[in-house]
Amino acid sequence: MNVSKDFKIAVIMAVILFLVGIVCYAAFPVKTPEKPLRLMFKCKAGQVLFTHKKHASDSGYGISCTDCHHHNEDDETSLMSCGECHFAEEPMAVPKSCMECHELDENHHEADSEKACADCHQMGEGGKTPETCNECHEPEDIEGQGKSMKLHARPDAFHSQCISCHKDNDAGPVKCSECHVM
Amino acid sequence: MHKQKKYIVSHAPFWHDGSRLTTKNYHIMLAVLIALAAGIVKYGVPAVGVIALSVSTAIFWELIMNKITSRTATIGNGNAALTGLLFAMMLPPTMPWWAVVTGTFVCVIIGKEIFGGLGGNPFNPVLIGMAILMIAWKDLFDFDQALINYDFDYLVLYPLAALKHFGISSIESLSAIDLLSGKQTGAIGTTFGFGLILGGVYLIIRGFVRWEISVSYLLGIFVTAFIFKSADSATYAGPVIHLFSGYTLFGAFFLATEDSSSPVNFIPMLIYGAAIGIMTILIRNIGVYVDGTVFAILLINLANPIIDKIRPKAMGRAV
Repeated sequence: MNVSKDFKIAVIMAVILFLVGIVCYAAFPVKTPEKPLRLMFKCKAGQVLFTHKKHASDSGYGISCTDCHHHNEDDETSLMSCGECHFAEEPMAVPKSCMECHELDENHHEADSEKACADCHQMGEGGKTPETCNECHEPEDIEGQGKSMKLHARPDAFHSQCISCHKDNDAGPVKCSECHVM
Repeated sequence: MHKQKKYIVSHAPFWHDGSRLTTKNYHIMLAVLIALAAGIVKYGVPAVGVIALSVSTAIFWELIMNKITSRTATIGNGNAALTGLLFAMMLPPTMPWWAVVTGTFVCVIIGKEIFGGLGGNPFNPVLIGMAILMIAWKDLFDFDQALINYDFDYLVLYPLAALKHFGISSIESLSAIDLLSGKQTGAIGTTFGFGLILGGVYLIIRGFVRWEISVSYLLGIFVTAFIFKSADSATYAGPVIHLFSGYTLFGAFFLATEDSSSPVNFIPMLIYGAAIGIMTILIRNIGVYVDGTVFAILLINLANPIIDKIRPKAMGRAV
């Protein structure tokens, strides 16, 4: 085999592999599963790898989705993320309108109705949207369901949820360095 | 026809035995195929994309540099392709395309071509690319993050990262057989230990790499990890996890043995290999990096010219 033949082989190999590479990157990216397998929570105290599948599957810890996730009042299978009501730019804020959390049912007017929610429903002081939970909910209504009246910052919500469950079941990490990559 | 006679030294011209650089490079590529195939089976088409893009762009970078410097095209010797292949094997399958292209640029241009091409490079070109990428975009080498959408039936934690951050208890379910048979997370081509050992032994038997470097490197890892473990068994892992996880086996057979950046004399080869092994464990156990292999080999590459001064005294006396 002479030099020019080696050169030709290298060039042909490079061109073919380049095309294969482009096709693979463009057409076959790593698929994101419908239900997350693992989640990486990024935070200043060091990232946390959460084994979602292991927690949720029957072969793992078998925890129900609604034990951790919010859901619509009428539909337990319709899970809601924190960010659907508490927006990332204002994590402590309550929703700006009713429709951000609630859905219309058959007893309500369609969206083209001229009536506003506040025309029927007692809203916060002066007919404004509420600014705190207490403006709509009685403390016992919420706290009686194991929910707090206080709006959590996201890290507090996660800490409270993870650590309390681990302590209740006497399983899983509870110390900072056991979850966070320091 | 030339008739070869033993024990006779004649004057030039000499008969060439037919060995070629191209043959050597393609044999090394052949030797990594088993480990590479295991990686493709494990990670699927995205891994093929990383490998294909890495090999092709490494060849293109070398060809472009050959043209710019008006030198004879050297891509035919297979070294650029080999560099791209070894580089790809050290990456996660989710590596973005721009990082692969940047990486091969650093490997080929900064790691090799600016030193005058193959043979002039003081460091392993693959590791120059890896080191610069690992420092510049360290998150891309977080295997736990990179493999977040892959599901396996074994512990899906990068062993060395788990060991460093969460201690021995986090990886105690990993056995030597599991690690060697690829039941661990890691880069595309570095998790299937049996394949790497088989490829390495093949290269050693064929004489393409020197056993002295590989064996002393693995011994250096074993002895140093054993000493750490003996000193504090609650904090430090034993030799098994260090030998069979991360880039260790890949480094022992395919990285530390690179011709231009490793010694050629017997004693220096032993010192060179052992020093890399010791340095790797020091970085893993008391350094900040999860896997010290890349930086350990580069550091000892730096000491290679000094180490290689240890050689038999020339006979006779200078006049």
